[in-house]
Amino acid sequence: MASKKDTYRQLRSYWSNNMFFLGIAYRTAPRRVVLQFILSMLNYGIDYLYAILFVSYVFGAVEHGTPYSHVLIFIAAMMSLSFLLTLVYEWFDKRYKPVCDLKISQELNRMLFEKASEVELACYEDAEFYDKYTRAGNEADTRMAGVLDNMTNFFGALTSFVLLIFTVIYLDPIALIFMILPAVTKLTITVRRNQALYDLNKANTSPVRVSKYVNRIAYLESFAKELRLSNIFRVMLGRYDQAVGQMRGNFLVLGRRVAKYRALDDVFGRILPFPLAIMYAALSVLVLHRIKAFQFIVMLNAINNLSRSVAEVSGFFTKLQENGIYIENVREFLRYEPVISEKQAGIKPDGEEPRLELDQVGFTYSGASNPILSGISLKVEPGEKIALVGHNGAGKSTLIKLMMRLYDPTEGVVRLNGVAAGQYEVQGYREVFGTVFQDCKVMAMPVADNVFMRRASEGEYKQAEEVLETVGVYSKISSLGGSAASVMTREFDDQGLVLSGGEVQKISIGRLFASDSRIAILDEPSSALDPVAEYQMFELLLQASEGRTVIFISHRLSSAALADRIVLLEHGRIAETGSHDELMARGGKYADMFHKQAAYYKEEALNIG
Amino acid sequence: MGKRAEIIRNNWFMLGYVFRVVPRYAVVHLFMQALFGLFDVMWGILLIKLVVDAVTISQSFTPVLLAAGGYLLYGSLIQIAAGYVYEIFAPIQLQKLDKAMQEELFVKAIKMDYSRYHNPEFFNQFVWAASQTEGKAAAVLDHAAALLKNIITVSGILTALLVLNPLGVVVVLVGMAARFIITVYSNKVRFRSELESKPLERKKSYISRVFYLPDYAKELRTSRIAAPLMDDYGDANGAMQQVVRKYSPRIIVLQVLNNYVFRVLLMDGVYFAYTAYQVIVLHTISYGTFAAVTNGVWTMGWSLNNLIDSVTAFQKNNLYIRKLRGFLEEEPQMADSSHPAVMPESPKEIKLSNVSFTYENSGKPTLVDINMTIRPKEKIAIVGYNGAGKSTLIKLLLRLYDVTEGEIVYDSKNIKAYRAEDYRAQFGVAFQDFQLFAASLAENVWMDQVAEGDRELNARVVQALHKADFGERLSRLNRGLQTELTREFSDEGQIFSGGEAQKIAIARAFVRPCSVLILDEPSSALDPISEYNLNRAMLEAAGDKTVIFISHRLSTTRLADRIYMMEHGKIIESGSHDELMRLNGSYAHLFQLQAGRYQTA
Repeated sequence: MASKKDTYRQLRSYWSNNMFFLGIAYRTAPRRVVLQFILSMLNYGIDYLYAILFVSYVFGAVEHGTPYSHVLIFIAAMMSLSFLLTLVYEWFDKRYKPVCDLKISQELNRMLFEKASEVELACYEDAEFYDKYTRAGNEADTRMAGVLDNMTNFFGALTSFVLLIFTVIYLDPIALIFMILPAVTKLTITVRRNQALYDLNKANTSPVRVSKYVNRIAYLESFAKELRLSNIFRVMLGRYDQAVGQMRGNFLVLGRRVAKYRALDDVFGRILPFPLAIMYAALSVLVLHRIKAFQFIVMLNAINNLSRSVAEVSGFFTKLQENGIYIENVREFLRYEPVISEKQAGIKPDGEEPRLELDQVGFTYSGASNPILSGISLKVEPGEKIALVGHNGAGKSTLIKLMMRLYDPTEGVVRLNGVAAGQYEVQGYREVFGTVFQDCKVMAMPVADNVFMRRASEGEYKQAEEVLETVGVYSKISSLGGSAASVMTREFDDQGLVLSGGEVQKISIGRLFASDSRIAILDEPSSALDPVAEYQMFELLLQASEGRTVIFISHRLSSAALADRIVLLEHGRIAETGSHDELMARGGKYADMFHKQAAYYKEEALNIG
Repeated sequence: MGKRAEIIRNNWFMLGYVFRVVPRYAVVHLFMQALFGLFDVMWGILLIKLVVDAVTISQSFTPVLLAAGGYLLYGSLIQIAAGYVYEIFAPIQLQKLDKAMQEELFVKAIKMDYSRYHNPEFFNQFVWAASQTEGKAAAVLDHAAALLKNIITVSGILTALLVLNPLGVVVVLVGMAARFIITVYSNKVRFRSELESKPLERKKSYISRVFYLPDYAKELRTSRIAAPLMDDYGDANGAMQQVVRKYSPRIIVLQVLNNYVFRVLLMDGVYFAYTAYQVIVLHTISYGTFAAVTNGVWTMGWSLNNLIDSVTAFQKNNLYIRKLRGFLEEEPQMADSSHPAVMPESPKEIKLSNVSFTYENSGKPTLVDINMTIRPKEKIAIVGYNGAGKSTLIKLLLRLYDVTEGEIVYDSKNIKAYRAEDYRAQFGVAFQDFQLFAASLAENVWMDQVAEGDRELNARVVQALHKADFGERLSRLNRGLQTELTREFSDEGQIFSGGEAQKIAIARAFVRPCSVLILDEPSSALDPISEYNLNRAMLEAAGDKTVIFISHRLSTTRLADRIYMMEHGKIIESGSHDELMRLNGSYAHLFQLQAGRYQTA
C-alpha cells in the first residue's frame, strides 16, 4: 500500500507547487486572479443556462403552449446577459489580463534573476543543475499562465459539473450512469495512455537532441568553415540517420501502446456515452414515460455537457501534474541556498591596505575525482606584483576564482587582512578586487554603464569618457558617432555600438581605472592580439593597476619577468616561487620554460645586441 | 490580388513537397479529416432531426436504435483508425518528411557561399527560416486537412439547412461574411501590436539570457550591474503594458463584434427567435427540425471559427514559406565548372596576382592588390596588426570567398578551374576559431567517418595527435580515440580545456595527406612549452609540404623561409627574417618590441 501513499504524497506536492505559483500571481495581481476564477465560473454558468434552461424553456414552450411574446422576452433577456458577459470577458482577456500578466511575469523573473545572480559560479559548471534551472527560467511565463488557466478552468468546469448533476438527478437519476462511463474511462485508460506517451517521449529525448544539434550546426556561422573544408558533416548526417532510425523504432514499439490506449480512450470516453444516452432517453420517453418529449433534448444536452465537464475536470489532474513537475524545478532552484550567499551578513572590509593570504588551499570541482588545486599557501603583501604562470590546465584561473571568492576552497582557507574570506559580506569583499578577464563581456547598455558596471548617472558620463580616452578607445567610439551614452551591442538596438574584441578588452581595462579596488586581478589578454596591441595592452594594465596589488596570469614569460614574484603552478601545486632572477638562477622548470620561449628571440638579441 | 495568389502558390509548393515525399500519409490524413468532418455534419444535424422526430412524431424506437447504432459504429471505427494512424503511422511518416527536407536543406546550407554569412539580412531571413523548418511542411498539410474538414462541416450544414430551413442559410452566410471581414481587420491590428512589442520582447529575452548564460556569470558576481539590468527589464515590461493599453480598445470592439454580434446575437438570438416563431406560431417546421437547425447553427458557430483560423494559418505559412523559398532558390555564385581540372597531388606553386577583396555591404576593400608567389614546399609566415586582413587572405586561398579583383593560380591554373571540393582537399587547416563536434575524438581529427576497426586510419589519427602534443592527454582517456566529445548528446561526453581543444584542431592539419598546411594562430591558447613542441612538430611534419601560417608570436614566424608583413590590407614588407631585420622597418619594430623583455632578462 506504500505505493498508494506515495502517489498521494506526490499529488500533494504537485498541488502545493501549483499553489506556490498561484500564490505569486495572487500577491502581484490579486484582482486579476479572482476575476479569472469568477469569469470562468460565469462562462460555464452561461453555457449551462444556454444548453439547459434556455433550451428547456423554449422547447417546453412549444409543449406548454406558452405565448410567443414570453419566449421572445426570454430570448432577449438571455442575449442581454450574454452581451454583458462578453463585454466583461473581452475587456478582461484583451486588456486587463495581459497587463497583469506582464506584472506577474516581472515579479516571477525578478525572483529568478536574483537567485541566478546569487548562486555560486560553480553551479554553472554543474551541467545538471544548470540545465534544470535554465529550463526553469525559460518556461516560467508560459507555465504561470498554464497554472492559472488550469486552476480557473477547473473551478468553472466543477461548477457546471455540479449544476448538471442536479439537473440530471432532477430529470432522471438513473441517467447518471452515463457519466460514470467517461469517468471510469478517464481513471483507467487515460492514465495508461499518458503513461505510454511519457515513456515514448522519454525514449525519444536523446534522438531528438541529436537532430536538434545537427540542425543547429548546419546553419551556424561558427561551424561553417569546417563544414565546407571537410567531410565532418557526413559524420553528423550518420548520427542524424541513426537518431531517426531510433525514433522510428520507438514509434513502432512504444507507439503501439499509445495508439491502443488512445483508441480505447476515445471510443469509451467520447463516442460510447452519447448513443447510449440517446437510447436511454428515447426509452424513457417512449416506453417508460418517465420524462416528457421536450425534456428529451434537455436530457441529451445535459448528458453531453456532463461528459465534457468530466473530461475537463480529469484533464485538470494531468495538467496539475505536468505543471507540478515543472514548478518543482523552479522551486528547487529558488530554494537553493548558495554556499556563498550574497545576502549573508558579514563584516565590511576596512580601508586598510589588503593583505591576501592563502593557507593550504585546495579545490576539487564537484563530480571531479582529482583536485584541481591542492596545498596552495601564498601570502600577497600590499602593493606586490605577482605573476601566475604554468601550463594550460595547471589551475591558474581556478586559483584566481578562489581568491575572489567566486568559489570557496574545498580545503584550507583564504584570508584578507587576517580574517577568513567567508567572514566578509560577499559583495564588499569582491569589491576589494578589480578584475580584467580574458573573456570579458559587455552588456547591451550605455558605454558608461559598462565602464562603471552599474547604472552611471549622466553627471558621470564625462568621467567615463576620460577613462575611455585613457585606455585609447574613445576616439574609436566617437568616430562611429557614439559617446558614453551610446548603447553597446546590437542585441536589441540596431543602431548599437559594435566594437572589436580588442576594443572590448580595453573597456574592461577601463573598468579597473573607474573602480577603487585595491587588488587588481588580471588574466593577461594575449591570445588574439598583435604584438603592438599586446604590448600596449600590457602597459595599460600596469598603468591602470598602479598603486594596487597586482596578481596576473601570464602566458608570455617576458611579462612575468616584470613581476616582484613569480608563482609557477604545476598539476595544481606550486612548483616554484621567487623573483625572475631567483628562478632563473635556480635553473628549474621556470628557467627551462623561459629559455624555450626566449630561444629564438635570444639568438636574435645576440646577433644584433 | 497578387498577395492572395502568392499565399496560394507558396502553400501549394509546400503541399506539393509533402505529396512527393509522403504521398500515402498525405492521402490518409486528408481522408481521415474528411471523415471527421462528415461525422460532425451527421450528428450535428441529421441525427438530431431523426431522433427527435422519432420521439415526438412517429413515437417509434427503431429509428433511434438505428441512429444510435450508426453513430456508435461510425464513431468507433474512425476513432480506432485515428489512434493507429496518428500515433504510429503519422509520426514515422513525419520523421521521413522532416528528414528528407532537412537533408535537402543541409546540403544547400553547406553549398551556400560562405560570404552569405556576412550578409546579415540574408542570414537572418533565409538561413534562419531554413533552420526552423522542422514540422513546417507537416503543418501546411495539417492546415489543408483542417480546411477540408471544416469546409465539409460547413457546407454539409449549409446543405442540410437549405433543405430544412432555407432562411438559416442566409443568416449563416451573412454571419460568415461579416466574421471573415472582421478577422482580416483584427489580424492587421494584432500584427501592428506584435510589431511594436517585438523589440521589447527582444530586450527582455536578452536580459534573461545575461542572467542565465555562464558567459556573463563572472561579471554579474563581481559588479553591481545586475541592478540596472533588472531596471531595464522592468522598463521593457512597462512599455509592453503600454502597447497592450494602446491596442486593446480596438481589439475588444472587434472581438465583441465577432464573437457576440455576428455569432451569439445573430445565430443564437435572432435566428433562434425566428425558428421558435416558426415552431410555436406558424407550425411550419417540426420539433425535430427546430432542434436540428438550432443545433446545426450552433455547430456552425465553432466550425466557422476553425475555418477562419485555418485560413489565417495559411497566411502565416506564407510568410515562412516565402523565406524558405528564398533560401532554396539561392544559387551559389561559386559553382563548379562543368569540366573541372584535375587536381595535382604534390605541392605546386600558388600565385596571387593583383588580388583585391571587398566584403559585401562594405565600402572599404579589406585586401588591396596582393601579389605573392608561394613556391612548392615553401614555408610562409604572414604577420601584421589586428585587422590587417590576414585571415581574409587565408579564406581567399581556401576559396571560401572568391576574389573581387585579380586572380589566384594553383599549378598555373586559376583555382576556379578546379572543383571546389577537390581544391580544398589539398589543404590541411588549423583555424584559430575552430569548433569541436559532437562525434568521436577520431572523427574530430579525421573530420570524416572513422570505422572503429580501421586500424591503419586510427593509427594515423594517433600519430597526428602525438604531433600536436596531445599524446599524453590521449593516454589518460579511458576510451581513447572512441571518446565522445562535447555534452551535446550525452552527459558522459568529454569536455576539453581551450588548450587541449586547440591541440585537437591542430592534429586535423597533420592527419591529412595534403599538399598545403595552413595554420591560423595555432598557438593562441597554448602554454609556452606546448607552443615550443608545436613548432618543432610543425617543421617535422611539413618537410614535403607547403606551409602557410599566421602568428603573432614572432618567435614562431622566424622559422619561415619568407615572411609577409601586412598592414591595412596591403603587403608592406616581405622577405626572410634576416632580410626584414636588416630592412629595419615595421617587422623589425614588432620583433624588437616582443623580444625586448626576453633580451633584457
